[in-house]
Amino acid sequence: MKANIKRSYVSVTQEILEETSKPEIWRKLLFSLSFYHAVIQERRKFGPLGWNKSYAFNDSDLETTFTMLRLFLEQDEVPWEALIFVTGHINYGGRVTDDNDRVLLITALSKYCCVEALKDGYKFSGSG
Amino acid sequence: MQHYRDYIESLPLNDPPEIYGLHGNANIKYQDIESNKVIETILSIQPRLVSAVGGLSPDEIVLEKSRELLAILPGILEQKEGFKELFKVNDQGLIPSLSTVLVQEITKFNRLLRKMRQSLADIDQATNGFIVMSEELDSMYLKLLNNQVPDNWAKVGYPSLKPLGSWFTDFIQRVAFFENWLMNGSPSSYWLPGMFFPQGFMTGVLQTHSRQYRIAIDKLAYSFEFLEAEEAEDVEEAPVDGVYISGLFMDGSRWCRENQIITDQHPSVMFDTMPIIHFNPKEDYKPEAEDYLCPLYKTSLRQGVLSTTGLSTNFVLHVASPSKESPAFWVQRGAAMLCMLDD
Repeated sequence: MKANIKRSYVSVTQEILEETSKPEIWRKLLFSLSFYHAVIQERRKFGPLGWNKSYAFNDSDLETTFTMLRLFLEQDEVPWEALIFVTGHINYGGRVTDDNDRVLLITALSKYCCVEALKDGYKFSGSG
Repeated sequence: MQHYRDYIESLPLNDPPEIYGLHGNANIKYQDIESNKVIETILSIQPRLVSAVGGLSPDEIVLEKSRELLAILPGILEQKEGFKELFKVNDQGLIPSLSTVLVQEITKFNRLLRKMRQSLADIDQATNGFIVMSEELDSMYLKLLNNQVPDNWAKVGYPSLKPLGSWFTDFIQRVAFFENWLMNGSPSSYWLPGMFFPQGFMTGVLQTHSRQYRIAIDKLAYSFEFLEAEEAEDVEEAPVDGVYISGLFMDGSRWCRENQIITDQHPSVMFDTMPIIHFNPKEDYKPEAEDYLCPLYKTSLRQGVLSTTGLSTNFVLHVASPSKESPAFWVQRGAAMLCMLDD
């Protein structure tokens, strides 16, 4: 988990963090999505309990998602539905061939990518 | 930026399964997978020809095992000798839908039975040097030696992850179930896991209902009722509509008998049995929004290939199950029902 999130942040620089009209939301979601990325990748180690099939999610999925996110944030309101659809069904979902896995992908994403995630002190899991 | 880097550094090195939304038991599963990989590697480099002093040689083990299995292998299931009531045609000249399923299943079982009988006899001959040890027999030899299901059986068989010993016991039970159905007529509850193609059976039940009540089959959907009865023997009569299904398991969660809901597993208990479930077709039925649509798979592998019928070869259907938690909770738990376990 830790190593995975760390890797996602290797290419993130201070300029990238500030290069947006909504720095607050951008930064929070950046972390949220990195966390999500790590979760779905690391879930594979649990075999069928994690995913029905083992998918090769990779860093370019996350990069693409960041790029889309930046574009979306230029709008007045954060388009949550579009964000979840594009990230879940297209960027990551493109790899998923099992319907039940797709349900899981979207469910997990909705937890990390939502209005509540912008609030301070929002917890991704019981243990914080 | 540095702030983020520092924060990530502060995260714990080992992550508990809870952050993935999984139960603590998932860690056991993970360790299980890792250790199996190691054992598999060790097994694959075991020498074939040397045996411990005083022990049996591989040839002897294979011979003994193949003879033992051949001796208890059941005979072919004969449709002609079956219960007459099962194959009675109705006024449209059709036999009951479930009997069609029965015939299809029996055909598949007979094919597997023939294959097993033939190859068990062959392996005996080949090991003794009377006939050529073909590639097929050689691989079968190895599998018998390692207590695994031979590939030539698995090819005409059903998906299963069991080792040979329990696979065979399970196989005998399956044949016995179908023999009973064939000879004594429809049972009061059906052992869904015993079937080659449970999806076909599920469609058969819908078709029966559709013919009986003249409702279009695509308007029918299953509703589910969880009974208190645990075993197939506990139900004496079949329901008026639909079927009773026995022998299912649950993985990633368990069925709470007291409250009749799905709930979290007990620590270190990886699987739980399910009570008898009443699968009842209803017209235009929609499950409650708060119910978890629990997927039912044939094996714990869950993974399947998309077949020509548009169905996964492992996924059977969704069973709407009541729960206190949101469906999202169970989706992340990876909760599912299984037709059989691995051992």
